[in-house]
Amino acid sequence: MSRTRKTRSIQRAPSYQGLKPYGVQVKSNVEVELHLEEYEAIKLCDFDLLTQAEAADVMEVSRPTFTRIYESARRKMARVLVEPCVMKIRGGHAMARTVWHQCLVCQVSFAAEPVNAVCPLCGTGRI
Amino acid sequence: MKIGIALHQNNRDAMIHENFGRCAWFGIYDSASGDMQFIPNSDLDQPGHAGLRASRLLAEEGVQVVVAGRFGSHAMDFLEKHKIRMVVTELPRRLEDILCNIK
Repeated sequence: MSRTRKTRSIQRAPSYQGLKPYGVQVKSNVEVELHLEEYEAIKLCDFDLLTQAEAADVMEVSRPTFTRIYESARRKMARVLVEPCVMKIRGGHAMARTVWHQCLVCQVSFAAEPVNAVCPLCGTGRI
Repeated sequence: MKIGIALHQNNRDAMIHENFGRCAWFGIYDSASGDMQFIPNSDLDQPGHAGLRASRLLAEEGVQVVVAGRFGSHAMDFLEKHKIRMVVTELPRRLEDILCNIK
């Protein structure tokens, strides 16, 4: 068994399940799985524009580990762009630092403690 | 309780902004009095760290809950440290829809 991976910290999982190319027939058996920490790496460096050093701190991993995750993410996304194929965002070894709950009344997500959380807007118990 | 909301416009018909730090206006709603105040986001066009500046601005106003489509890393970091609750709408929502549920 290979060395176990330390859990990567993410802020929030994406609210959608993946991406599909449009305007072309894609092979249904080919799909790329973008791990949650890879999604987070792209979000931190390419969207929030952090340096890799800052992003590694946010994700609570070493800089070489972060670079490996980031490179893997970019290669997967390049494959999705060029081939093209379906990309599903799931899996990996990530856990959200902040716990996000859903309020069915307000139809929003909110950050709170893992247990006994109430919606900060309407006060009802979480989903 | 004061609630800070990222908005596209400065009126009650406004849509909630999809990005916390880059919104044009902040609505500050006082749930005790029902008052609604609109503050412009003057640092909107500055490159980088907009979320952090926005968080500081709202924290100074005594806001305890913030609402937007999403929050960037710097904003999330600051808000978590200051125990300000984040509420994410994800889909486009009207300000009125959110306000009517507030107790």
